[in-house]
Amino acid sequence: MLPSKENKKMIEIFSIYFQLLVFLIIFQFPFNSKILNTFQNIKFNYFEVISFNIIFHFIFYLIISFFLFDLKIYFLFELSLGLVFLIYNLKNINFKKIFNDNLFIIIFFLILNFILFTNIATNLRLEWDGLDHWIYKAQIYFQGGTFGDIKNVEFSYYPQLGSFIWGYFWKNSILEIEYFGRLIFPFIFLVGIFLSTSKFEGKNQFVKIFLIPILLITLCLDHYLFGGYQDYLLFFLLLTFSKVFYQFRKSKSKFLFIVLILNTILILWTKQEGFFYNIILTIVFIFFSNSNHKNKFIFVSLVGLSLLSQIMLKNYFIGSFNFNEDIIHNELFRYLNILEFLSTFFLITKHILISMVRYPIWILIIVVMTYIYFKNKKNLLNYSFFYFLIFMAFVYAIYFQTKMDLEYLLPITVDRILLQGSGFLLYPTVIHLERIISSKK
Amino acid sequence: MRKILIKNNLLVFFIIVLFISVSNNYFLNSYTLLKNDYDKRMIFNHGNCEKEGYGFAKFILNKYEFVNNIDSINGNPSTYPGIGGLFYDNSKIRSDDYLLLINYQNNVSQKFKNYVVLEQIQNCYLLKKIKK
Repeated sequence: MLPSKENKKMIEIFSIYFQLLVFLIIFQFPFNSKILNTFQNIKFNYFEVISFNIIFHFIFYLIISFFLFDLKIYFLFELSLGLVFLIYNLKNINFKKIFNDNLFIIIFFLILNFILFTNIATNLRLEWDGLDHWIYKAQIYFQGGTFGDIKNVEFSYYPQLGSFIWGYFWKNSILEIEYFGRLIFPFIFLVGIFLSTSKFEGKNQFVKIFLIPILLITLCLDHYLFGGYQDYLLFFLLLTFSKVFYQFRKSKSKFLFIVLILNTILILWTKQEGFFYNIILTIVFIFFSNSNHKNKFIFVSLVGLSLLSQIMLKNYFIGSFNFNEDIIHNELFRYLNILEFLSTFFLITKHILISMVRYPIWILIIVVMTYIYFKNKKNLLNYSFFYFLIFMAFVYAIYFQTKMDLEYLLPITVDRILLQGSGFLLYPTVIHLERIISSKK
Repeated sequence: MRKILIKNNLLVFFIIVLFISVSNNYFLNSYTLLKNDYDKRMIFNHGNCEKEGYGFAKFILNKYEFVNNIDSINGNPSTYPGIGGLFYDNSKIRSDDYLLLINYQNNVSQKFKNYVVLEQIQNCYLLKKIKK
């Protein structure tokens, strides 16, 4: 007997909330605070542990995205392990203490997830890039395809990690409806926001724990990007890298070093820009990690190997490795004309400024960093300022390099690039904001 | 005193959560989910014979069992992308034997001389290639 229409709607609503439970079960293993404390001197909180688990799982998703794999079997395996770990955690970790200390934050986090999930469920709309090309890759994985099948669709040279994750959770949802796969993106967005604000201590706890996340979400949130875009995935990965990098600089932990490497690999396979973010993050690591030469050499080598692997894998599976257009071409010579150079420069600058208004997180970043710079230059996290300069140079380089009409291209792309890139600067901004609030009694 | 502090925090927390829920249309969205099933919401968001033409495409693909993936052309291509991605079948190859036109305002017979109209609803068409 088939469920009635009313029952179907109730099942759908139940499935939306159930999807959150699935995420929480899967992403609470293999690491927990007790296991991590065994190997580190650092104590990790709930959101840090979830973030590490997300990185760990995403690496496995990336690996299996290349092969023919029954995603349902892998999901059942993941879910079973998650349930086993849940039982283990309940017995061995003082959840009562964790809950008592973090009750409001966790409930707040869950409620925000419900809000964003129901928003996506209601406004199912797939936006331009989502419908034009990302969904094809998600469909391939939903229908049991492999990385090699991607060569049959448009923009086959775009990386596939986000589409795989979309197809994976779409396939493994109760109703196997497309938008269930996209619910992972608001989930990781919120994990990122709470990751950056979760370690506050001292005075003004209420402001720090509630108002700063609300502020950040208000400044960063754009429901349009949950319509099939991959930008929040990149935002989360850059934010996680930034936070882990900050902790690594202080602790030199081998575990955090591994997380940084895994993070750069995931960034590489999220969007084309990931190739260049890898280079930017490597430069930041070399100059600001406070690490010995051996660690720097290993980091550079592994990132280099990762970049080479992408080129080889794409050549093997897809048949080519390329970007949207050739990086070097004859039209670049027009910038030898200083007037041409300046008019392009001002055009790009104009659209960057417009985009900063579109995503006002940039206004917060610039205001906080300017304030800190003038208040106490020693306190400015130099690596964040360095990243800002390189990132802006990268943005200008993209648009100086392209042959496409900038009046058409800039309004539809630069805002999303700025949002992605802001992920790295979010954590240093939050640290400075916390210090400003703490210093004012 | 501590109980009053906890109660006050709880109250403030509740007010904040309520405010955020209302301003993000959580209750309205929940109501919409209860009122409208998935297909209705898809047609609302992606159109029937307007926007991307999801409703028309679904009707056609349910009625005709195509052996291949068919192309779709939107009459407003600068505003709406093709709907094909939602119905893409990885086991099928692409073919131009059939063509979906969504919200197509121009003269169909003039623009697509090699095709015959199989289905038409308002400005949406299913065309079949004339085999020579």
